[in-house]
Amino acid sequence: MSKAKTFKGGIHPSYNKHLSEHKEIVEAPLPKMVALPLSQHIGAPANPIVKRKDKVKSGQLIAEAGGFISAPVHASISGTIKGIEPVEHPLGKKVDAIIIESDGKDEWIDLNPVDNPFDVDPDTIKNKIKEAGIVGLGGATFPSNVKLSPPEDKKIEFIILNGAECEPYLTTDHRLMVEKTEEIVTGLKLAAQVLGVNKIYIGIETNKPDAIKKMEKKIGNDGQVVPLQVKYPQGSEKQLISAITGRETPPTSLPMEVGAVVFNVGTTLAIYEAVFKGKPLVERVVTLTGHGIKNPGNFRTRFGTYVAELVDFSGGYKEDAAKLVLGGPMMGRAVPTDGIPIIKGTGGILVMTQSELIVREYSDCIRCGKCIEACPNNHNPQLLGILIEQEKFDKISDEQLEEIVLDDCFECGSCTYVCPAHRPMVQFFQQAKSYYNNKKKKR
Amino acid sequence: MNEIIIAVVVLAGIGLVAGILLSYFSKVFHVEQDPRIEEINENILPGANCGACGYAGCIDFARAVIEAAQSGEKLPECPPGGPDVAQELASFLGLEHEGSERKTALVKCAGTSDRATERAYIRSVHDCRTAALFGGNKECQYGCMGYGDCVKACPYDAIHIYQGNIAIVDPEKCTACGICVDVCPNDVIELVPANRQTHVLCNSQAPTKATRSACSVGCIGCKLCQRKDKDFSIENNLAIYNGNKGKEEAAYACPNDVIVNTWQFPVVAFVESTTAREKFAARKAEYKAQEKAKRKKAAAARKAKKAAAAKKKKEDKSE
Repeated sequence: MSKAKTFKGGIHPSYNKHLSEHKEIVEAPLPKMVALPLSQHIGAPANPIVKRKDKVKSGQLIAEAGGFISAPVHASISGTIKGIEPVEHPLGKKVDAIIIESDGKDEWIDLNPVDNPFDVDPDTIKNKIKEAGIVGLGGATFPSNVKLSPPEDKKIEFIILNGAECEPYLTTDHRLMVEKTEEIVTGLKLAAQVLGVNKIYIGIETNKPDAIKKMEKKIGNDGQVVPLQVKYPQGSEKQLISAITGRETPPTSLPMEVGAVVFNVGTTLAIYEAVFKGKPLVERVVTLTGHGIKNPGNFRTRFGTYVAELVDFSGGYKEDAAKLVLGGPMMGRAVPTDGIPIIKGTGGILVMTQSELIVREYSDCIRCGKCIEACPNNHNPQLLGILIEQEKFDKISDEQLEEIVLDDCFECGSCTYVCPAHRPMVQFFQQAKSYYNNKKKKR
Repeated sequence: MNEIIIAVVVLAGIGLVAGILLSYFSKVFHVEQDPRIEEINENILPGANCGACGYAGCIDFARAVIEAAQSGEKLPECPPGGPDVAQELASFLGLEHEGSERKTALVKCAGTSDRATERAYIRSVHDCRTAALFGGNKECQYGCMGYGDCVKACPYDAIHIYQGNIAIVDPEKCTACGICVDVCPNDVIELVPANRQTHVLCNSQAPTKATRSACSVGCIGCKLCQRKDKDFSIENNLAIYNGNKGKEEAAYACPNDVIVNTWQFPVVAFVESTTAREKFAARKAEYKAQEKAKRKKAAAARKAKKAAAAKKKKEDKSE
């Protein structure tokens, strides 16, 4: 094995992957009720096409895509529509969701797979992926068919499978790569063919040796498995491209600018299932983990399942469970209740204990520069942080704010993690973003 | 002694020469400026340099006023100064004044911490705009979050947060500059005509069920106020008042006490004080009792009329 590659900057948090990395994926039982938010992806929300008291089957289309950058929503169980109501959303604001009460039968619609997918024209595949409502399952939930349709003047040279999974605790991609190797590789090859690319890279951090071995065996000479250093945020799109190809994606632009397209492990599996089996995207693998949960594990869960129901199935909370985070500890969001549905972008559910919640008073910036070293995007978090803390927004021009803070900072939390003064850097940037968004909205 | 005299003489000499030069050059390089600009800035404008007019401070606004007056365009408006300043400006420049309506800001929320359901305690966030990213601290997504971004932004000290964790505008101090409207992420603050005496203190556009579970004083869009007073309209599950002074019946008809009549109770009292609420409840009960009595009387009258008619019919028949 050659020396593992990486990017500049980054941090080494404690990973805690041992909790669930060797647990096989378990099928979660059918939920009694699901809430499917109309906005589970980046872009315009979907438009519902069902009414109250309608009967639906599993996999039936219940909301159409609301624009080019949008994705349809499918019923994840069979049953009766109970209504369209606002529910808690993992990303904060409440959004309208279609509530379905299960009839317990899980009757499926007729599935129409594509025959001989490697021989048909790319548009058929793209259409199938669009109809299946597939979005990036890594967390950013960017519609996959848009990624597969780059503008004509952009030449795509590489396709990269993102198996880094740098976020602590989470093990969904790891388990999928070990258990569903063949399907993932087939899905990846299909995506490469649609894009007309012949260079396939698979980036996996070296803390998943079993996954690296299996993927290397399966992909053979068609692609290259690139072992990556164990470092956070290695799984961020731009950092992954930088590590594997040595190309830097400019701020505010997409990876296609440097000729790369990155797919998450779960997304390629979803592409495989949609094209070869005709199944729309109605379920995903979720890591339920943390020291506040009795039996951590990886569960294949239907979308819209309430977190509480999954936790009950796994064995429940420990007594000292104190905080619920959707996503990983670095980029996930704390949520106020477990009555919140699992959506397309939910890769992990983390339950933290009281003793893990340390809140330290923060002090003034001591200008040690550790955050500058840690920032994977070459920013100056200390200076921006001070300006935002003192609300000196006039010293940052709107263009700077938009370019640096809004588009390029993806809130990985590296700066907050290393700060010896315990300054909440990411919170400062979130504040700046919300101020800026508010200003833009009102203009 | 000699040194002192020399120093004084030299300094005085330098001063004299410099003074002559300065006065000479100030004549030669004199820039003509309209004296009215200075006068407008000092005597007419509020002088807060708040920027609400869109110009860089009052002096810039004064320049714009003179320019507009010279080119015959419509004068720019000073929102904090309102009609008074507009009137003064017009008379100072010898122009005709077209009346503009004075406005005041209003926080359309009465969901104090004991009335609105708490959704989450957001640790580490102490301002509305960031809290809005996380869905806010209240079950209601439309109301006032009470972190006080508007209080900080207000240049006139006209907004305060009291016990109930709700921002309330002091209409006496408010100049309708609109800065608070811009900073509020939930759009709870609206500029309303200053002479409007009836307000709907709710901003919730959520469906009835959601509003009910989120707040005990939320507008559920039931349209009962509209039946009593045609100046109310319902849009997106929310009552909107468009008149100047609403009928008392409308306020009493509201099942959740969302409507306030400022000649009865000031907004602050209606939101914050329990005694004001109790008084309102008593009046409402009285009104309801009267209504009931009226209905009963009307029903009795109808019944009597009916009975009389039946009797007459019977008599007609027997004849």
